[in-house]
Amino acid sequence: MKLLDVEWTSVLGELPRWWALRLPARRALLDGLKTHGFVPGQRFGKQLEAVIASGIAEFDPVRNRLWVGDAQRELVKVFRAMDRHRVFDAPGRATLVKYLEDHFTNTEIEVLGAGVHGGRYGHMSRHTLAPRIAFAGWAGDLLDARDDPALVAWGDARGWVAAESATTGRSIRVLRDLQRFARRLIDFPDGVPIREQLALLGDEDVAAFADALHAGLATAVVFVGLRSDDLEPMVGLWPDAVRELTRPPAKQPSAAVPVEQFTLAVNMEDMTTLLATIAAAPVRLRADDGAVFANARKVIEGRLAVLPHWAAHLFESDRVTRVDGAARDLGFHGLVQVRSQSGNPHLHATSGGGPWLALTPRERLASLIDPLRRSTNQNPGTQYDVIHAESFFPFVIPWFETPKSLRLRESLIDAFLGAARGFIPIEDFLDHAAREANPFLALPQSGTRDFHFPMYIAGYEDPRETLRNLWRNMLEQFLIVRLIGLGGASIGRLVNGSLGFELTDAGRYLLGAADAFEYGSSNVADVVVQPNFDIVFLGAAPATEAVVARFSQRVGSAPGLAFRITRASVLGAAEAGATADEIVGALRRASSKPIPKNVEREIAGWVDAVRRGRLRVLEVIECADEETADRVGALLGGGTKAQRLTPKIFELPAGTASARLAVIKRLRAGGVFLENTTSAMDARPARRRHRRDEWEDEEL
Amino acid sequence: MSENPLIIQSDLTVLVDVSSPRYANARDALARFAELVKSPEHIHTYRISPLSVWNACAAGVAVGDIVETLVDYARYPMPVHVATQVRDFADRFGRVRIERDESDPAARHLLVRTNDSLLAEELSRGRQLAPLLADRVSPTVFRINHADRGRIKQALVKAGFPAEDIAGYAAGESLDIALRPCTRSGAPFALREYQRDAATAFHARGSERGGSGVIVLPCGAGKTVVGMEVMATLHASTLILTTSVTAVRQWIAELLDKTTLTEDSIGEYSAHSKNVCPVTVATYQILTHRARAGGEFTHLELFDRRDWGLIVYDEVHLLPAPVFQITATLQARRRLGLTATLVREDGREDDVFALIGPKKADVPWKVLERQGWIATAVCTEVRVPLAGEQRMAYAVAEQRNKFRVASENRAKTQVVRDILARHAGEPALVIGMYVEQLHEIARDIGAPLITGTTAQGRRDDLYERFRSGALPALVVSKVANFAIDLPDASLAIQVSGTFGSRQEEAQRLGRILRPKQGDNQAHFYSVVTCDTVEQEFALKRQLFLCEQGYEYEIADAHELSQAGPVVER
Repeated sequence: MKLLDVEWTSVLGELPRWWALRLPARRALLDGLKTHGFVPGQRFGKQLEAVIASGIAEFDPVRNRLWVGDAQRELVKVFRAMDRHRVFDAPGRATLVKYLEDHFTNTEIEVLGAGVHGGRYGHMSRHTLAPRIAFAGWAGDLLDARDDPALVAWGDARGWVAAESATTGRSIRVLRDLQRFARRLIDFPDGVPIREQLALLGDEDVAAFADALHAGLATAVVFVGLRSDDLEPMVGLWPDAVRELTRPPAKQPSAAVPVEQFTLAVNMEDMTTLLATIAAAPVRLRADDGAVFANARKVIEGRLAVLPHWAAHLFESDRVTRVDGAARDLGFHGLVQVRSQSGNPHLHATSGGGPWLALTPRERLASLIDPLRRSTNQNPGTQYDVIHAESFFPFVIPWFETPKSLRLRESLIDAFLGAARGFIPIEDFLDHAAREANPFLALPQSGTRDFHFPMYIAGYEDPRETLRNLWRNMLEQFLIVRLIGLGGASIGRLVNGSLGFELTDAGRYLLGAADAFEYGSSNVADVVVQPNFDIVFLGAAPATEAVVARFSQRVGSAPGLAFRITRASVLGAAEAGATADEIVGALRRASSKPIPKNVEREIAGWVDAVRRGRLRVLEVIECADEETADRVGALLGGGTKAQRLTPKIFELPAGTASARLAVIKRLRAGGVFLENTTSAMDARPARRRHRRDEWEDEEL
Repeated sequence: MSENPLIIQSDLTVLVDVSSPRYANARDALARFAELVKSPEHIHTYRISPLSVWNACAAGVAVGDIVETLVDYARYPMPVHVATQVRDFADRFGRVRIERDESDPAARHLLVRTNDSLLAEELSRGRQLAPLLADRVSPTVFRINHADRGRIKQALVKAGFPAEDIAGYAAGESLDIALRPCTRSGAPFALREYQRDAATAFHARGSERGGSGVIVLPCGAGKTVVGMEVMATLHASTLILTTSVTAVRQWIAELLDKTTLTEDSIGEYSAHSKNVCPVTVATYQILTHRARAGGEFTHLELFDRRDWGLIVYDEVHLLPAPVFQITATLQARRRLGLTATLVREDGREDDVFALIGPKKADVPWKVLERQGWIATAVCTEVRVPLAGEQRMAYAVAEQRNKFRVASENRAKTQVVRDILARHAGEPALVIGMYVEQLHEIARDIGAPLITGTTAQGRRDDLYERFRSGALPALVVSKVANFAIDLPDASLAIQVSGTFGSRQEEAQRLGRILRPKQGDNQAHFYSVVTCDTVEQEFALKRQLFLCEQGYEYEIADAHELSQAGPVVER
């Protein structure tokens, strides 16, 4: 039974029969009665009498059976329809989809959704229409319609036409009644008993009420259903929409005191750590996707700044690790480049990498912030643009064009600088900005030629919801990437476990509200070489780390015990060509104190013990005795350049397979036969066509 | 902030810059709740652990003080979770107490009280604790058998909730003992201030919070004297456990020399003698002796032979496992541990904490060195090439034998002579592991040799002659490692050693770190065959000694032979 096919005036008139029943009888009636056919009286048990007394069903006492007469059939169908969809008890998306499936044909759904932005471009189904109906704007637009033309436009957009009316006047009256009705219903997020609404009306108004109800049902603004507790017929707007519409304005967030707080230019520090590692030795990348090789990544991750557990999720995701993020950023800034090494891609420091490491922490951070500050773009790029590292915005607008009146840079700066001083709860900040200070919502909603966003991105959502989410996401992205990640905001954990943020000097500098900022220490860090071979960094000194890492083993991170000189690490440097003087000299330059004599002595000893050799693959002819070797030497003569290594062994020069065969042939001709013990000797030259006379020669 | 000496790392290690103007104060504050791990020249490393924080809490240090100290002296902002972890460690202390059961005058039972019922519930379900905490008196209180006192404390430490034991002690048999103002030999005798402080910290004015714990003092700082002072404070019969017969006799000699005890009130309990007296000194070895593998430890009943008021565990870091077990049943006796280091090779520091008691006093050796109570030591590694005729033997030796071949390098004998010549007139110990080598050296330098087979009487005689200066040098094997007091050995030459054990090095240095007449400087030489496995293992020794803060030099043998006598600094 479709609710839209119901003659509501008469149904409303029959409702008192239902109200006369208590809950058990109502339940028995719904479960037991059929709209056609007879039903045995026993099915109703103790409720039989009450059901009969209600007049909803006829009773044959002789045969003890009930049936629903024509007059009541529609009423019963309406109750059964309302019972199927507990709109007010479980108003979820699935309920709404089922409701649309039961009460709207496909055509009606298409008509209903035709007015949805982008709906005309694609197929509208109950699944795609349901989210739109569930959002506040669906009913909100009706409530906001200021005059009759707006009401009519609203109705037309939903394909509603007063079917029995030939005049627009009745349509307008019905729409006005519907609007008044909806405005009353806004006070009841969980619906209101139909009984109570009817009690407000005189008899002459019931018909108008029924028309308004029908119009509301037909436009999916108003819903009816039975309440679970007592099976009372209810009417109301979609519950989630009502809650959204009646939500109080988001308050300006006020400052809170954090339980713990953390300030670090994480992105810059990660870049520094990774670059220091790369400067010591290039880092291997995966050939397929260019990510840092897993083994190398694990090692580097152990050196990154440790983040509080409640904040770590801000800097890493399943898709992009901190190491890969730092590698990407280093590449953006021209500090590393990819080069092949041993056939595999590796990250190498560029000529700018070393000098960048030698900067103080503040200077390094300024090198990242200043380009952002200097950039002149007032709005981010659009959806086909690439995000540049030096763009103020770490995001793009997901549209083809940017609305001309949009000034996102100003809006963004205002949002952050306008926040109260102190730690602001992030969610409250984003919520407030998205709702109350949203530059997208402030744009003209219609008549703007370039204000349209692709339907496949809009997803048939309420545009207001989409725009709230869009601005919220942009603010959040800027906060994390441009502020927190660059030390422009401290983050804190609040008493209730949520996160808060507070702008730092660096953040105000980035936003143009300050001319300078401080970060880290400008002093060159003390580095101490200990008699137990530990190298302790008394501060951050990434350039020194890069130098020291070449001949010592990383055991920690600065500040603290960062490296240890071991025999293996010194030998590794020696293998790469370092001398003891170079290593000790580098330590002297790095260390603020004299190098302990035992350390110098051991390094010298280890390097002095280094010996070099060469690994070659030889082909040799081993002879059984010296006499054979003499014959071999004579047969080979000077042409083959064979070298006699020992009295019985000759080394053959590296050559082709045919040259080798030539040697074998020459020896064979002289009566010296070689046993084939190498697989290389199986590589015979390609066969050529033999002439008959050649074969005869070979056989001989 | 840059003047501050502490760099606090996220793994709870703390690096301390000794060049900072605030270093001394920071060290004193830090040592209350962190263990010194290593102290090479410029940067010392401490570690904060649950045990170190519990030791601090047991000594009355508040967690707020700990965090404030770290914040106050930190050079950089402390990692965010360090304070949280320290608070967590400290929060666990004191949540469980062991108290007397006032309703049980026979004291067969004690009470374990928690500060909340949820914790009581959690503990009562622990696998090791459940059978011991079966008798629940209330949501937060359990009644336990007094014999389980030690086991419960062990299990609670392992569960992360160390118990504060205020159940008190048995008084033990009374003993009339006092320290003498002059030794028997007539020299004036008085406690040093740090010794008195250590004994006072242990005793805690006789309250239940005192009476069990460990005193950590460097070798040569006079831990024996601290033990005697505690005995004199408690006036109770005492069982003293130590590491060797020589050490036993050393204790007895000290007790006779410096206290009012007489010979008839002190007994030796060892392989040689089984006297049980009001003060009995025994070896760990005799207590852990059994006739056959898997048999009974028949001498453990010594613990029950008298009503001991105090048990002293000398070199407590060497306490053998069976003694731990019996100690678990002696929790009603006062227990004093004496050691130079809480670090055990077997990692059972938490058992020391649970069964002996928390650390009561800890004086860094650098402090004592500066005050002149122990000698400064210069460590020198002398590298000597392998003697020609032994090179082939080394080259063809199996890997496991190479160390011995290198250690028994005959060229070392000349090096020993050269070192002795550099330090002519200084009493010297030559220490080694291989008896044949030691025989040869002893013959070469004309010094007596003490090995494991040397009779105790002869050993005592040689030690006495060495002390008196009649013998300028002694050659000793491993037996001299532990607990012998040779106050005037200012030179030690190690010709061979086991594989770089930390304990070895600490003990060998301990032999010479006694206050010396004159300039108070001692020298420790290791003679190492270069380009062999011995040099590789010597690197471990080098690292250890540097980490202990000793000055470490490396010299070639030929440099030594050309150098003149040592000029003391």
